[in-house]
Amino acid sequence: MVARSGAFGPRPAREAVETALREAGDLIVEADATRVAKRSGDFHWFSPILARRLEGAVADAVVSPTTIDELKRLVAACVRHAVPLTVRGGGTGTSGQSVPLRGGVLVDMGYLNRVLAIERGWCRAEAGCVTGVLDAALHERGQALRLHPSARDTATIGGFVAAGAGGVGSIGWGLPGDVGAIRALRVLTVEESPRLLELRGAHVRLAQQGLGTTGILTEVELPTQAAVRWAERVVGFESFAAALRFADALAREDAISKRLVSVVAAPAPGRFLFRRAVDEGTHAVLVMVAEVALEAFETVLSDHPGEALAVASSPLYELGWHHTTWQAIKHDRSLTYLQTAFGPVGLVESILALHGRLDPEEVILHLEFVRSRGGIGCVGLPLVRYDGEERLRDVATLHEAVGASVTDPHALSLETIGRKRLDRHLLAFKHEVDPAHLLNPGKMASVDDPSFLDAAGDEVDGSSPA
Amino acid sequence: MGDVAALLADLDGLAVETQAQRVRRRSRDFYWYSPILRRALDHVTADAVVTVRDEAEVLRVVRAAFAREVPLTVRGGGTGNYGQAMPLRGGVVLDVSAMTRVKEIGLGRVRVEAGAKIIDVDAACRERSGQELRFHPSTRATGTIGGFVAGGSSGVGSVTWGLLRDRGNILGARVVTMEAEPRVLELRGDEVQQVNHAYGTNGIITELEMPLAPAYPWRELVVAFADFMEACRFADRMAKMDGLTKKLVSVLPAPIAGRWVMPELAHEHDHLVLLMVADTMAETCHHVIARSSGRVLHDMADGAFEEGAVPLYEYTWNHTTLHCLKHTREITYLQTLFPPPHHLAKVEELWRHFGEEVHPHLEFVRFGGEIACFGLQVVAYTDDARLVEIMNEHNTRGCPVFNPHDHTLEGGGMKRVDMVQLAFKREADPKGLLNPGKMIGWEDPAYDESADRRFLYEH
Repeated sequence: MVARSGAFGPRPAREAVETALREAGDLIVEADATRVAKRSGDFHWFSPILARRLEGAVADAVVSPTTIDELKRLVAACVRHAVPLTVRGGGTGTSGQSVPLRGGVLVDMGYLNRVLAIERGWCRAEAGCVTGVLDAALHERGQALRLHPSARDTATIGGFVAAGAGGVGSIGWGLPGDVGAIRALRVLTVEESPRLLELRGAHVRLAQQGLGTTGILTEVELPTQAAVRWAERVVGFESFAAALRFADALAREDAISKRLVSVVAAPAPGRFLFRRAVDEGTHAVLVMVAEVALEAFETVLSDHPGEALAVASSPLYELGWHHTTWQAIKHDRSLTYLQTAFGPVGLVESILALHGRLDPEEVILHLEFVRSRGGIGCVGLPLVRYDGEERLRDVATLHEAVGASVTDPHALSLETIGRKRLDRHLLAFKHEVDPAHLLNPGKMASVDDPSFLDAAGDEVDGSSPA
Repeated sequence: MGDVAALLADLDGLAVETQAQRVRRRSRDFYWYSPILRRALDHVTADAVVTVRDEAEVLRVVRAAFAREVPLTVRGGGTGNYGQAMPLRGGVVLDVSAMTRVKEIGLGRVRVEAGAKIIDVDAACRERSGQELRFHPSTRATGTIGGFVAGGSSGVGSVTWGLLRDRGNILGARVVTMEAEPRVLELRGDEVQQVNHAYGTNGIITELEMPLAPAYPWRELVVAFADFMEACRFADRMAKMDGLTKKLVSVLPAPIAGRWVMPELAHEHDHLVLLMVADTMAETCHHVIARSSGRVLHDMADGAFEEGAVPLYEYTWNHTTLHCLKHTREITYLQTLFPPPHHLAKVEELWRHFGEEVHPHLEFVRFGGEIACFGLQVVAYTDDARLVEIMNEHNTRGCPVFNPHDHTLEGGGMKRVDMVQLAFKREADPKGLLNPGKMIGWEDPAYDESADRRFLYEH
């Protein structure tokens, strides 16, 4: 058998894939090239850089296991024949995390989707369960997910754990990497005799936010919150500073339960989010607050020069987080985005300083307010008119100059994206769960080059970087 | 002073107490925590106590007291610490603790009469809806919800929900005015601030609408540290964990923790961190504790208590002071804000400065979108002048003291006349009959202690 070469390293020989699939037994397999290519994609085309780099990155086949036993058979056979495995949930990622760089088998987790337990204060589900389905099951019991991506209706809970950096609810509960955000994870090792490992408490950090490189997530156990009736408001401002100050003041109101506080600078609200219903000079703050807190919300608003806009768009979170990006890029394919983070110290001042240095026709600021280590911070998803990689780096540098940190959503590996710190513990875990490095190859650079490792050692709390 | 005898005749048929000993007992609160207030207020007593059962009876008492010009001082559970419910100028103590109806429970809210005990409101909400009040004073078992709003500020749960003054922590208040023909007002939104922490000086709260939180089974943990600042940093880290569902993060320093507060549990060299977290979070907590230098001394699931066991929150907030006072009358206390984000540095600075004279008992709270801590420091009392020096030292170093040794609103936490509360008093209590003597601004609207720190010597 002859291994084929690809842009990202060797691909398995076609016969190896066929043999592995044959040995794996009776499984749901998709081998039609067009359909396999379609399912090998995700939302990485938000980035023109990734769109170009990932062209032609397709699997040899898509397999949809319906039981853990089927998954084990598939893994064992692929290990025997050195066939790479790339796990896919809802395919809503934006970093190409489920795009198979070296071919092989794309594992669609969509049938491993059972809700396993709902108890007071926590739940457990199979990784392929769609976040909206799990959330709906929780609501029937008076509970809700604390966090979900804006793609609630299509993203899977496993995909969110493997790649999510924040989401709807982070203004109340912080980020997915925070202590207590995940109770437990179950992963399947990629070995000839695959094992299921249960990681609890602080150990979950080993298997979360690993872009599917650190074992195959099979089950997720999460804390829940009590269900809340959320009210949605969109507030328009003539000045960006006023919009930001209102959002900041609201974010700091500890007694007002919030689900979403997003600031979208002009001209995005008028041009992309609400089209015509709002003029292009309007800066918008998207807000979800508990219905019981509406009166308090109105009093906060009365301190600020904003006006509630009569725009109906429910659910409102589908205009926040990455859906803001999506709505904009849908309308204007010359746009792309960056991912930034602003810490609690000097939050408003640093964002205003940045805003003053930007041309709104080139960079449109979009900020999501979040709880960050007990304080209030922002995740930024600015829209950027793409004018080459060099200019994109300049825009990132402008952010860094005001103290923001920038992760690179146009990179492919954990290390080059820069969102997760990789240390020797994590690399040891990688070697334990995937000794042959078959899992989503190319997404963890340290495997081939240990100089990528963070020498600082492990984060005691497993907190996400701010 | 009006005609009390005539008033009592007017109130025939209501529950009136005039027996001197019993009236005196019900004219007091926990003012004796402060040696200064102990001296200043010891003589205070009402002429009579009238216990009302519903709003109609409140209206009847108000009409008659207004006509006879007799002062009215509203009282709930009598658990205040600065004489909030003590009738400085005699007259009638209006005891509302028989107004206890829980009127409505909805998703995220409860409407309740002002005299309901907090523990009973919690029990009703928990039983009927799986919810509970967001936070409560350590006197949950005896304090009333009306008294908490009129005289409190924060408590067990503030580490998640902030302070009573935060918008959204009081949804509505029904208030009876002190006029010839009393009005019944429903205050909502920012209007509730007119009566929030006003000691009942500008209206009689008869009903409150309060927000609710999910009632988790709470897990109690006590963790001991050999080093005080280690304990503080651990507590701060726990308080800042946004994903951790929690209700209490307190630091009880050595030696008072083992000597006076929890002698059955701790040694005199133990610095304790007391935690209440949702039981679903216990596993996570233990992981974090295991990576700290702390030792778990106590780990108790909610409902695992034996009959009569003391809930952990009864060792915290002002109960900490109470436990110390049970052992010695040589101490008193402070109420201090250590402002964020450098609160731990300030705690350390003042701890090193005062040594064993000021024991830094800390309660962590959410404060304006950040984590801060309040100090309810236990102070070795020598004399008034030294106590004032200690408070001034805190103020000078940027840690404002809400003086618990002053019975007035302005001398306590407010520092200056609250013009909103004063304006409301002019409208709702034109004769100045409600809890007279507690709002300096009523007699002196220009009063501003923030510009003049001599206030403690003025009475």
